[in-house]
Amino acid sequence: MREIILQARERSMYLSNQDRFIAALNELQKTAGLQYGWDSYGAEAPTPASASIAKHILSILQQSNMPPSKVAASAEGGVGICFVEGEKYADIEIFNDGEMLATTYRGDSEARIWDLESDDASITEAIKQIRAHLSA
Amino acid sequence: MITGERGPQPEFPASEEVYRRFQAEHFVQNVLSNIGLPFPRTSFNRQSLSEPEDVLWHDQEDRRFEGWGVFAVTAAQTRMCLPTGDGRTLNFDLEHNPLPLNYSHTELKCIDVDAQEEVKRPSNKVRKEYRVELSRAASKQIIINPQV
Repeated sequence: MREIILQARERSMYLSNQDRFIAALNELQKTAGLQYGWDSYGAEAPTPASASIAKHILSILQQSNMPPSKVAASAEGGVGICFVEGEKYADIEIFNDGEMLATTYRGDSEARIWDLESDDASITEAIKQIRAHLSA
Repeated sequence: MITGERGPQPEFPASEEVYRRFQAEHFVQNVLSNIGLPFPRTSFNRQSLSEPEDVLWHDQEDRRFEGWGVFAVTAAQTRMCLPTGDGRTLNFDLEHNPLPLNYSHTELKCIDVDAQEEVKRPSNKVRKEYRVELSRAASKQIIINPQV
């Protein structure tokens, strides 16, 4: 009986995560329609290249069953993928110039910011570190 | 507030707040993400010359940003000193920079400490460090919540 309940819970969590990925892809899609100045202060719109990298990162996150809390356009030009769990925060920011940065912090503790390479191994390692940060 | 013939007021007491509007997309579970904050020349309205809700009005047009949020940070919180990683140190501070239709308009700028020159665009990583710290301070001073 206990096993059936656990299986049902896992399936429910999987389906909930799938909904969150659909929402994340919709949020990414919304950024594609933005124009220069979308933030009312003169921010650049995400380029198709930065949106494409964000989509690829979302596919890697989906393989890891780790949906983000939010996908939004970056006020620096590009796309941000954000994770929030209580007082723990993380993001991956893809700039229009192709550079990528990952960030983690908790409460008032010192933030950690590091460069990401564009290869899958680097992205996967960053996701692993973000998962560890959020679940610590 | 129309600027008219008035010049800038360069002094910023450490406790004076500055206000900025933001969109609901960057407010995630009551955290203001740094993703919604740009640098440099980030615009604010200063507290001594405006009310928080004034920042919901466009600087140049008769248009209000309905449903957007407003955060505050103090001048002290905007002042940071960050190393660039190549031996330079950058000082971040506010500059009162009035616009014709917005006397309270203020901008963040960044100065190379040794060269005493403004740095228009520090590296993505230095800007990110600054944006992260500013967003953390801002998350604690949400004056108007955005409508989700």
